Order: sequence, then structure tokens, then C-alpha cells
Amino acid sequence: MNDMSRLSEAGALPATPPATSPATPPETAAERRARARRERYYSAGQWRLVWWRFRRHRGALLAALLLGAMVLAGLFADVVAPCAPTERDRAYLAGPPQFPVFCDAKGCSLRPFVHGSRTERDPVTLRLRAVPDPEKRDPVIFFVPGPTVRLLGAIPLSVRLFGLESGAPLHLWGTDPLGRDVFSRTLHATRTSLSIGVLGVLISFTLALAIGGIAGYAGGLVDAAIQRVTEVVRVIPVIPLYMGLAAAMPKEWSSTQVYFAMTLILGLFGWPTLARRIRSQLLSIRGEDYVLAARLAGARPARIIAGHMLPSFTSFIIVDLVISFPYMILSETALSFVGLGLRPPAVSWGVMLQQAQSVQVIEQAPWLFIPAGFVVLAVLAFTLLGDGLRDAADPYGQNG
Amino acid sequence: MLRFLAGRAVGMAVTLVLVSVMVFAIMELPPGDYADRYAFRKYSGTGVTITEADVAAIRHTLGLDRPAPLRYLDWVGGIVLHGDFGKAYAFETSVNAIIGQKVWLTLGLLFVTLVLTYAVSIPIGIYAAVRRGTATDYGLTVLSYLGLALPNFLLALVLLYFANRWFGASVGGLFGQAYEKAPWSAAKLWDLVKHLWLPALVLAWSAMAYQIQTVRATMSDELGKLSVIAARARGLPEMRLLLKYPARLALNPVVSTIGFDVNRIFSELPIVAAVLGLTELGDLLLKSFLDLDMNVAGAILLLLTVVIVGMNFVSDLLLAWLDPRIRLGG
Amino acid sequence: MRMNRLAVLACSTVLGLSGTAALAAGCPAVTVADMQGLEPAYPEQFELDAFQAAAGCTLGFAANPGSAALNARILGNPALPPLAERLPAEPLVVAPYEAIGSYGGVINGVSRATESGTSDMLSVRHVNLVRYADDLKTIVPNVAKSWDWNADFTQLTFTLRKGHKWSDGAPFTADDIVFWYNDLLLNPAVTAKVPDRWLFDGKPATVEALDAEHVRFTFPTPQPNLLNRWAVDYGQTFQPRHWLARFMDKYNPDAAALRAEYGFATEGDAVNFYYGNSDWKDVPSAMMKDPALAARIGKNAVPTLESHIVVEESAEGRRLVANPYFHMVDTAGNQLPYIPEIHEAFVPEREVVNLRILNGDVTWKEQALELNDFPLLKENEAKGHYRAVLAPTFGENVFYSFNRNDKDPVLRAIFSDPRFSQALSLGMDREEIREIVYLGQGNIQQALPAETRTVDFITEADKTAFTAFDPETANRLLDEMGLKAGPDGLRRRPDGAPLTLRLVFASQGSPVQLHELVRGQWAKLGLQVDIREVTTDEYRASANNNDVDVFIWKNDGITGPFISQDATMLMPPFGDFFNPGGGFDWVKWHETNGAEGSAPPADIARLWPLGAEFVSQPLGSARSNEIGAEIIRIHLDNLLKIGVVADIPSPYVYDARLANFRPQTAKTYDFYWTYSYRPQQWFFRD
Repeated sequence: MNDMSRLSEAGALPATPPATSPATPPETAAERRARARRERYYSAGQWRLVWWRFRRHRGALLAALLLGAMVLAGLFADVVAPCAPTERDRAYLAGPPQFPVFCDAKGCSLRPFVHGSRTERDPVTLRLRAVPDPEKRDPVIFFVPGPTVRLLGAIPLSVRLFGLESGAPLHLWGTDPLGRDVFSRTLHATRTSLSIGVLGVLISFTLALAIGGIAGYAGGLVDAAIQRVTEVVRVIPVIPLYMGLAAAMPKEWSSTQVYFAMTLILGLFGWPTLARRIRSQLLSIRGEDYVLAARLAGARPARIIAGHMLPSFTSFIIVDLVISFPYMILSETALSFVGLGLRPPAVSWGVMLQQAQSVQVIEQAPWLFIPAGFVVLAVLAFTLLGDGLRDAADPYGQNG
Repeated sequence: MLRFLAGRAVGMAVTLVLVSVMVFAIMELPPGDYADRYAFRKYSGTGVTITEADVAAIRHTLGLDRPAPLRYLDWVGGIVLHGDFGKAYAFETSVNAIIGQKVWLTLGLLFVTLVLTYAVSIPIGIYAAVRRGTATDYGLTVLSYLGLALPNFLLALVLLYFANRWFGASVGGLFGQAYEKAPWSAAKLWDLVKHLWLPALVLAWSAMAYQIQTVRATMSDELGKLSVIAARARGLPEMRLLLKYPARLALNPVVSTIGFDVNRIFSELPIVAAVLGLTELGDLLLKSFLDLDMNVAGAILLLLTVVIVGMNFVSDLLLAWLDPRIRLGG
Repeated sequence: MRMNRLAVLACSTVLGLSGTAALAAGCPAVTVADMQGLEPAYPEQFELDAFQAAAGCTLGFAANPGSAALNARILGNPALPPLAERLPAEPLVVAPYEAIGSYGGVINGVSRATESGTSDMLSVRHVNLVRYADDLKTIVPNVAKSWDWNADFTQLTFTLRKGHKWSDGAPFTADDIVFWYNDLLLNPAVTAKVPDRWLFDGKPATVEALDAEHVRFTFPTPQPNLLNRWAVDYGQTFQPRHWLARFMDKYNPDAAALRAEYGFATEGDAVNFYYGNSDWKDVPSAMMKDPALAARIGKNAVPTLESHIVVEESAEGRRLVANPYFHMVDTAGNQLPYIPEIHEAFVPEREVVNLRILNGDVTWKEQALELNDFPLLKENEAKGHYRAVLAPTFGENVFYSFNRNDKDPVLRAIFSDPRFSQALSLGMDREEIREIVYLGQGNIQQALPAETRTVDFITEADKTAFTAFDPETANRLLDEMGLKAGPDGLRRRPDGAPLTLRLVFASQGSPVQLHELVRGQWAKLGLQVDIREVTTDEYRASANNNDVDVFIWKNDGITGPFISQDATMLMPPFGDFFNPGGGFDWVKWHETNGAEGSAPPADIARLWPLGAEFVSQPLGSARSNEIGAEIIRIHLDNLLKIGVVADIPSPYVYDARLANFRPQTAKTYDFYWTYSYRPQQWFFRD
């Protein structure tokens, strides 16, 4: 059911490029450096090795940076975004993106600026159109004052990263038909969507650990029973399942409660793949000497699993975790799309895309699709990162 | 081999029983039942004041007031003994009549999507493995991941829009007006293809991403093996060499996941179908679920899971036949 | 295909009922655009004898040459007799708007599914005993040739058309109306509960056939406005006795054997297989329920008097063909409808509907097109070869009605104080809503239980009561109620919890954007507002179950002709199952004479007698206006529903080739969509 991790189960992720063949004498200065590097390599610890190998995977590195940027943008959305997610600009409804420029017909300026602009309704088609005012230049400035927000829920700040000199908000990515800033909303949505991913993955990971652990450690009948249940959960198509659960949610729940319920639902059904993987790993090392030794020493099963068996394949688990993220994110968008997801004022990528889901938007306000780019980037980045981690974590990897 | 077969068959039977319980449980999840809906379908706008007693009477007539375990037994009994999926409340007819023709269309759509997925992903996966590390390889990887990363419903709407606006493709439904009721003919088949390519493409794109990467990875592993190097040393032509050993082995993981591919494709079908205005099972599932017409929703879910379980069984057999080690270990 | 005058002449010589070709040639092709000096008794249509007398000619008749082929598609119809035997002896002569049309083409429509968003397509083929002319003021004959009230409006006699026939050729007589009322509606085996709307003061009417062409309704109380119902109603107050009675022991001694043969357990089951258990005619047809059984019994659908009859129906859509026995002809004697086929595709997804329209695949659509779609539809008009037009709606004003019978006693107390509704009404920035949600269209207006343009008793002050944007007064009213704000700025209920309003709505009843705006505006009054979108069915289920804090839908069924014969919207529960308005405990109290439920405030209790009296007075009379004004006052004193913007225009689209198409004066279910605009005389210009 968890397709991303299935991918890794099947050994599907791209391996790293082949390594250069070992050097042969006589030794030059370059080769000495290489030998020193090799020596460092042989004496390095496991995590350092992983990091070295990971560093070479340029795609994964880029992905990690990108995700880092997204996380930061989400965390600091309150000050990076020029507007609050539900704030409306009545003068600029369904307005197109405003690109700061340095030059216009009247010449150039050192400071980037936008032209004054507002939207007006076409008298015949009733469509909103932006009416720029080329006479009015409005320079972009940084660290503008704004209403006080609590950064990370604690630090009070009354500043925004950027804005316009006139005090009007700069709509980098345009506005929606209610006049809400798409850029600001996207950043706030990033926070929600990523956090749903994290929570969902954590829940499914805990479940997978428990269920897979029991199955793998106990084996036999217990294992067989758990295997059946796992198969059943994998066989049921997820969307109807989610719909059923979402419909069963009490109506009077607030949007916060719905948010947590959703992460719970996503988490509750994400475990089978990881559980299977943990089980098969455990089964394969169940007979190893050190496990037997621990058992003979009288350690409790939970301790044996957590303390002795799991560490032997931590790296794989991490990879699986990373690869589960995009799945959670996509599920969230799908759920929000069928109207069973988050409710306003909560804003997530799925909520934003649901609102963009119309022919009218494709034709008349395509900038409302920008959050889709974020989903694509996030999913690509998580997948690439997973690739890189996987290669890096594989002790038999070729790129020593 | 017989023992293996028997073991798998018993496992499948147990799974089926569990699945039917699970499906029934999902049908029970949403609060309320069809009795309320029926009440105002029939009486709204007629000025009739409906009391709780009226709704209870309707509930009794529809048999919805009996305890859940009894209804489960009835439901499963009807299906197993008579092939009867019960009443479709909203359409006032039997579920069998409603689902009838659509089963084949939906299975057809799933089949076309599967074929499309494999037809595209296997050659591309092999090609990418051979060209590993080149710009082509990366390009293909990103392209295939794009299908995975774009939310399906968005892809469906955008493709629909452009297909319609640029190429004048017909939208909605699986048949053009002229062919809806027409008997099967070459022209009707062509008409179906014209309507089918878009949903099949949308559904296949994300499935392709997995398979391309699966094939590419297995193929890469196989390419590094001694047998290949030896064969290359013997001077076997590259094409024959690829097809003789590694490509065949690279199919193993593909075969092993057929059942789950069906699941994944169908999981996305309701949403894609809703966007594309297809009236097939996925869409019907969504509608009847929201409508609390649970016999219809349950029948579709059950049919589908049976197909998936069956596919899993077949793929197990295929794998066992391809790879004796599995047979012995299973 | 085009039928010119010469062809009509040729046909009429062959098929002419009487008279000579020379006389027939004298009949002028009268159109609404050019009435040629004729003045019909009712707008835009004539009775045959009156037309012939006025024009001094004898009308010859002609049918669509394709009639026989179309008839062959109607399961169970015998081979087609000549036109003279199909038309009533007294057909209704219709003056087309622009020109005598030509036969051919298909009306392509879309709807969501059976019983869902289909009524605009139903209205295209709809007939009833009478009809509203397109001025929406004059009631004109249709199936009935004429009607007659007694002096105190307790007896209504309809005169039917001699020789009128059902779509299968069987005679349509007064007995079919009596059968509908006595044997279907009042028959508990068929209709479990008699609809209150056909009971008068709780008692049934007496319906009797005086002879084949005359049927008389006798009401227990005066019903001066009841004719309106036959002019605007979806229901068919006549059912084919010849077909349905066969399953009833009362009419057919062999009925039991017949039912057994087809596997029907009861009389009700058998009749309802065709009749569908309800006056609402868009119930799944017999062929939809069980095609094999329908084929065995011999008809796919119940015979009709409408212009088209369903011949194919599946979950994909349905096809209809012209009723070969339809009772209307144009002024050149051509049997209507001109467009012999309808194809209605079931398209569940709104965007696919839009794409189909953009693509020019839709001949006609109005229901479920929203003002928000208009810019898209209008911009693509030329490319898709269609026209997108805005028409006024009648009384469609979204309302928020706080549940004064809320299950939560604290909320019940708060909501029962009119100051709360007043404050929230004043806290609403309707100008902003009008600009953003309604594209700058419509007029700001309070929610009233009557449509302002179709009744005479509403004043300007009524329309604008509490609609000004005045947050200060709003806050003051809330403070006065003791709903003080806590340190977080949120107002507290008397029990100390934050005052949270749950807005549960369906987008079919009101736009999402509206609620997002209102949420923000009410948040500024210190209220916590949660909004949740649900499906229409889910909303109706919970609203009818009294599980909502706020009833949110749009007003409908409040035009003069409607409320004058059906006072549902005027008194608790202020709506029906489709559009519940609350006050369920009050209703229970009223129905049980105070034994159950809870007593409403004295003035609201007065709404029941007032509503009953309102329907007993002719609409527009002094007394009717007096009562109307008082009802309005009570509604406003309590501010039962908070309105937003009224008179919102809404788009409809039609194929640019469609001729005899007149711009609609209103887009409303209250006058049953197109029924007033005579779709039978639409045709396709080449």
C-alpha cells in the first residue's frame, strides 16, 4: 500500500555510479592523497561513512537543501510571507503575479519596483482584470513593519521580510478570487502539509515497528496471522477507506481536531509495507548468534528487538521513512480534493489545489496552480533524498 | 508444487473472508443509513411531514434495522450462494443490474492501464539501465517521477482541458453519443479507445514511475553480473544479450506486484473518474458512498479486492513458475 | 428537412381534417413577431376554432416525416395511425416566436443523474393542465382547454381537449385525473402518506369526472390561488389509468394473476414499478429499475402527455423522442415539437459540464450554472457557438438562520434572542460579499419569506432592515446580551465556553467563498466560526434531524404564485425537506396541540393561522396584502433568517443555432425553468 517504500523493497532505487577502479603503483602525489583518503575511509565510523557517500550524490544533496529550504520557509512563514493566510486584499482580487522589475518605459532604477495595480471587473464578461498604473512605481523594500506575529509560536515579531514602500502587500504569485496572497498561503500550506507528512510517517512508523517487530520476532502462527491482516490492509483501496473514516469523523470537530484526525488516519494505514520489511529483516537475523546470546542472557523480547536487532538495519528504516513522506503528502492532497480533508481556515497544499480545480482557473487564473509546483518539488526531493540515503547507507555500496 | 498451490489457495481464501469483513466494516463507517435519504428523496417538495417513525418504517422495509452481523451474513450469503449483491437503493434496482456492464468497462480500463504501464515502463526501464548515469537516464527518471508527484486529479483536469481545447477531444464518458447503445463493432471499439486514452494515461503515469525505477534497478544489478560479462566476452550481440538473461530476470519484481498495481490504479480511479466525468465503477463507488447507497459501494469494493487478491494469487504462481526457489521456500 | 409552406400545403391536402386545400392555404403563418392582426384570448396561443374563426381559414395538419421511425423506438407503441387520429380534435395552436420551424435535431442536455439536477431538462418537455405565459403573470390553457371556478373558490372545473391521447395512443380523459387523485394519491397501498400539499385544511378534495372532458375538484376550504399550482408545478396531476389500473384488483379482476406473473408482491409494488411512488416524475423509469421486466410487461416507461417520452435510460444518461400524440401544433398546422429528440447525458462533474459547454456540445442548460461560471462561459461564447446570458433569479437569497430549537440549550437561548441575529446581520459586510462572491451583481437585501417583485406587500424598509454594515452596533448588541469577550478576544457563552458557531453547508445551496468571507467578518465580532462543506444530502440529513446550529441554504419557493397556494415558507418550519428552515420543536408543539415540543413566541405562533388565511385570499387582494405585510413584520421582528444579496442574476446557455428562443425573463424553479418559454417551438436554424 505504501508504494514508495515498496519501491525500495523491490530494490528499485537507482544505484550510485560505478566507482573508479583501485589505483596501482608507482605512487604519485595524487595517489598518496588518494591513499590517505582511503585510510581515513577505513578508519571512519559508520555515520561518517554514510555522510561521505551521501555527499557525493549531488541530486540527493540538492534535494536535501531544497527540503531544508521548504522546512525553513514553512517554519518562518509568519515573517517571510507578506500577508496572513486569510488576509484579503480587496483592491487586488484574482490578480496576476506581480514581478518586481528594474526597468520600465520610463527608464531604470536601482531598486526593484512594481507598478501600481488593482483589479477591475470587465463590464461584459464580469471577469476581473488587472489594471496596471504605469505612472506609479512602487519599490520593493525589505524588513517592513507588519502586525505582530508569534514566530514559532513564541517570539513576538512585528516585521515582514519584504513588502512595498507604499505599504501595500507585494503579491509575488498573485491573489486568489478572495484577494488572498498566493505566495503567503503557499508558505503557510507548506508548514501544514509537511507537518502532516511528519506526523503521519511517525505514526505509521511506530505501528510498523510494533507490528513488524512482533511478527518478525515471534514468527510461526503469530507471524502468519499478522501477515494475513497486513495483506488485507494492503488489498483494500485506500481512497474508499479514507472516505469511510473521514465520513465517520464527528461533525462538530474543529479544524484542528480534523487536522490531527487526518494525520492519524494517514498514519494508521501507512504501516503495512514498512512492517513487512521490518519483519523480513528480523526474520533473517533472528537466528544470528548475538540475538541468541541476548535471549539466553534473559533479555525481554522488546529489548532484544529494540536494542539488538533494529540497530542492524537502522539505515534502511531511515530510507523507508524518507520515502514514505511523499506518499503522505499526496494522500493529503487527494483527501482534501474529495472534500474530506482539512477545512478553512486551515490551509494546505491539498486545500489550495482543490480551490484551483476548475477550468476557469486554468484559463483565467493559472497562478493558482503554483502550489502544485511545491507538491511536485517536495515529492521529487523526498524521493531523490531517499535514493541518496539508500546508496549512502548501503555498506556494500561501490562508491567507497 | 501441489502443496505450494494448496497453501496459497487456503491463504487466499482466508484473505477473502477477512477482506469481506473489512469491506462491510467500511460500509458501516459513515453515520446514518439510506433510510433518511430515501425519506426525502420520496417526500421532499411534497409537503409531507416526515416523523422519526416514518423513517424507522422505511428502515425496516429496507431491512436496515437488523443487527450488523446478521446483515453481514445476509450480504455475503447472497453473494456467495446466489451471486446477488443486494438492492441498489438509489436506482431502485438490483446492484447486479447497476454494476453489470460497468464491471467489464472498468476491468477493461484497468487492463488497458496495466498494459500501457508495462508496455512503456519495461522498455524504458531497460533503456535507462543500459544508459545509466547519462542525461537521458536522469531525464527519464525525472519525467517518470513527475507522474508520481503531480496529484492525479490535477493531472486529469489539466490533460482533459488541453486535450479538449487543443485537439477537440471529446470529454466525459467512455463512449461517444452515437455508440453508447450500439452493438460492439470496430467503430465502437475505436470510439472507446478515443475516450479511454486519457484516463488510462493519467492512471498509468504514476504506476509507470514505480515500474520504470523497479526495472531499471533490477536491470542494473543484473547487468553487473558475471553471466552478462561472460556473455559479452563471448561476443554476443548487445541486443540479444540484454534480452537473453537480464531483461527476463528484471521482470520478476514487476510480476510480483501485479495485484498491487491494480490496487493502486483503482485507488486513484474514483478521483480521476470524478474529474473526467467517467461513469464507471470508480465514480459510482464515490457517488454511492457519499449517497450511503452502501450495497453498491460494498459490491464494487468487494469485487475489486477479489480481483486484487486473485491477481496476487496469479502473480505468486507465475513467480513460483519463474523462480523455483520461491516455490521451495513458500 | 425544412418544411416550407408548400410542403405544409401538400401535407394538409392529404391529411386535412376537413375543408379544402384552398381554405387551408388561407391560414396565415402567425408568429409572435408578426401576429398579422390576430388577437388571441391568451398570449401567444389560440384554440383551434378561435384561430380558424379569427383568420377565416381551416387549418391543415402536418407531422414530422420521421414520426413513424421515432414511434418505433417507443416500446409497446402500436404502429402509427394517421396524424388526424393522433392529434386531439381540439389541438392547442401555438404561435412561434419568430418563424414556422423545421423538424430535426437533438436537444443535448446535461444533468448530474436521475433525480439530481435534472429539472431544467424535465421542464423542456413538461406539460401541465395550465401554464404561465412568458410574462409570468398570465395563466394560459395547456392540457386543459379551459377552467372555471365557482364563486367562493371551492369548486374548480377543468375542461379537457376532446380526443386527446396518451403517448401510446390510448384516450386521455377526465378519469385519468380522478384516478391520479383517488387511486394513487389517496391510496395507502401506493402512496404511504398523502402529501400535505394535496390536502386542504388536512382534508382531501373531492375529484370527480363529470364526463370524458370535464373534471371537477371540490375543496373543503376556499383555494383562490390554487390554479397557480397547475401552472408552476413539477407534478403530473393525471396518470394513465388504462396502463396502471391493470395491476389493481379494483379495476382488473385478473390483476392478482398479472402481478404474480411479473413477480410483484403487492399492488403498490406493481403500480410503483411504473408510477415511482411519488408525483415527482423524475423517478427511475421502469427500464432503469429492471429492463428485462419492463420489456416483458411491455413498456419501458409510463405513458405521458409531455412533448417527449423516455425511450432509453441508463446510468450514462437518457434519450427521449417526440410524443407522436402531442397536443400542440404551430399556426401552420405542424405538430410540435420541432426538435424530435432529447439526449440528456449524466455528467457528475461540474468542470466536465463546463468543458462540454465550451466545446459547443450542449444545446441548452440553466440549472446548476452559477454566476461564478459566467466569465468563463461568456469569454468562450464565440468559439463554442453558443450564447451565455444572465437572467434574473427570483428571491434566491442565501440565508443564515440560527437554530432557535438548537439541541444545545445554551445556544438555543442565545439564538432565540433576536438581538443575536440582528448583531450578526449588522456585522456582515454585504458590499464586500456582493463584489467578491456575486461579481458585483444583485442587490443587498434582508431575507424575506416572499419574493419582492411578485407580491405587493413588501416595503423598501423591509428589504434593507439590518443590512447596513455596522460593526459598532453589532458589538454593542452582543455586549448587551452579556456575551462578553475573554482575554483572547473571543466572546464567551454564559457557561464560560467560547461562543463557537458551526457553519455546515453544501455548495449547492450557497457558495463556499461566501462562507469564508462571512467567517472572517463574524470573527471580527469576537465569534469563533468553524465552516465545513458537506454534500447536499448530508446537509439535508443533518438539518432535518435538527443537528445544525445554523440553517444555511438559499430561499426558494417564495414567489407570489408559489406562496399564495403553499404557505410552507411562511410558517415554521419555514421550508421543506429540501430546504429546511428550523423551528422543529415549534412544529411538534403545533402538531401535538402543545403536548410535545416547545411553544414558540406568541407572534411566531400566529404565523400558522396567518399562513392558512393567506392562501385563502386571492393574491393581490387588500386582505391578502394585509396578511402578507403582517407575516413579513413577524419574520423581521424575530429576524428569523439573515439574508445577504438578492436578485442575483444567473447564467444560462443555449446553442447559437437555436431559433424561436426568447431571452428568459427569469431563471427560476418557481416557474419551472423553461416551461413558460415553450421549448416545443424551438428549432435549429440551418
